[in-house]
Amino acid sequence: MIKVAKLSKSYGPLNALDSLSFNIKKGEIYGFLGPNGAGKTTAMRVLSGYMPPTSGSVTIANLDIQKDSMELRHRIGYMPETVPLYDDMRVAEYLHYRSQLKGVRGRQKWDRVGEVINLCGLTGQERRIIGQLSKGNRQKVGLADSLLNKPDVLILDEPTIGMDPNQIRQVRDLLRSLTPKQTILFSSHILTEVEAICDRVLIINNGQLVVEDTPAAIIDRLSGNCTYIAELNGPRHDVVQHFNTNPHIMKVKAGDNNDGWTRYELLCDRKHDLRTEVFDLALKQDWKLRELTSIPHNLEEAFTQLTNGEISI
Amino acid sequence: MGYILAAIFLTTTGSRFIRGIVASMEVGKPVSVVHSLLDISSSFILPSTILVIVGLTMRLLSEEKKSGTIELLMTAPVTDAEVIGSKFAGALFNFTLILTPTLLFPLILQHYSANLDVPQTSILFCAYLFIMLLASFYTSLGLLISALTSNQVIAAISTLCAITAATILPVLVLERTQHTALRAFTSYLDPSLQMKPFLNGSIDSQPIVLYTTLTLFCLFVSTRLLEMRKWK
Repeated sequence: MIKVAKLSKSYGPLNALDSLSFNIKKGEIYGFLGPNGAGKTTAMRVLSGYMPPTSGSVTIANLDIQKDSMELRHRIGYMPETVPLYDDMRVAEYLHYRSQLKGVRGRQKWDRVGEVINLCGLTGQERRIIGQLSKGNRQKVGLADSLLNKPDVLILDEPTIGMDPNQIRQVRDLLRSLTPKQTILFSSHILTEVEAICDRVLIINNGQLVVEDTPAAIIDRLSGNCTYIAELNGPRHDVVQHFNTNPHIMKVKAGDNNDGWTRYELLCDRKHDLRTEVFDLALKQDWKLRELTSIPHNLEEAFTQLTNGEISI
Repeated sequence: MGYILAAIFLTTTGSRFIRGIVASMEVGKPVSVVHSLLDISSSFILPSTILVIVGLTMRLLSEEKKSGTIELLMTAPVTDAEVIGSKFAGALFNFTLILTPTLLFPLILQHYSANLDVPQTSILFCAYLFIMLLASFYTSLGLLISALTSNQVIAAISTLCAITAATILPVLVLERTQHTALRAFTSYLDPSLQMKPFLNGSIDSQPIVLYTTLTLFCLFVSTRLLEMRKWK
């Protein structure tokens, strides 16, 4: 659906994007991640047709973003970061105006405005002046705007910023309901959210591609190790000694001793499940065990390690 | 903002109209009140027009840039030229709405007084046509300046200076020079001189060509300025 090949964008001497290439399949929810200043917004602006690339190509549904810009604008829904709106307009008035601008007119316009108001949870807010809306509701108006023309591709730059947890959940459900009819590219700094809803994720840093894969694959490829938590009641010195003799355990970290219970963090090879061994050891040594769990690695860890240059792929 | 501008415009033109009637009653003979009201060289209609146009154009693009709504506007399926054309048409339409109530002045005179001189329809038409030509140029100039900045106050002050210069400079040059060629050229640019044939009920092609060309030029430059984001 979206093919980006060697996309570069420079602002004078600054390279905001440097030979960025990726493909997005139809119906996918694609997460676009990167630290502040990584080039996400620039990439989204280029993809939305707001600014042309310095070099490289972008095709959406086999249409070139520069040559077929007008045709593509009918097929793209774009929501910029901290959505800019006309503060002195009312919500419904603004959406009617945007519908007309996008070529949705007449009876169709009235129907569609009603639909997006319902979809985005703006019912009851139609007559309110945009300047008086909360940040979350402003984001919803921006999202509603991006949906007005029933776009094939939705480009959302941090759509949930400023929303409360309920609103974030609403947006997440909405985005899920839009696929597979629509392809969604969205950026967010809430990585748990990205992990929860994205089919694939792309991480960029300094305008360059760092990694592109499914969230699970990224985590899997990055974390060769796994951390286990065991809370035991036993002689601290003996426990640590036993753990240190286990060849699969690379590092043992003993926490504070509370009422005889000590929390141990055990860093272990990911391929080896340590839990049965710890249980058997506790049983054999007559130690009491009240918690035994593995801490799964998440996208946030992967993001931090990748963008800080701690790990490279 | 539009309402405030309309109020200022109609108050100044209305007060001039009333003062004209009072003066004609004192003189005791027919006076062309409407005629003198529409003559830009002798009434408040020119400064009022300039004020209204500055107010109408200062936010056209500068506010879009400042608030970031330009990004949404330029990713909608509309061309840069369409955006500029629509902004210009919208501002000019608003000015027309503000100007329209002044059409009531001749109607009021016609209805209530036979003592006052009401201009012929052809003169009224020509005078309003000239005012609209001038307003088109001023509006396009205001739009151009609004495309240059993201600060509406700077846009307003710059537009006011530019329009004032375009209006007053030819008059000043005409007053101070005896150079024939320069006088001929500046008289071509002086709005009050250009309006004279229109106030007599005849349409002169010279100002029509001048102001249409200037308007189109300003709109063209504004479109190019809007496209500048693509070159950065």
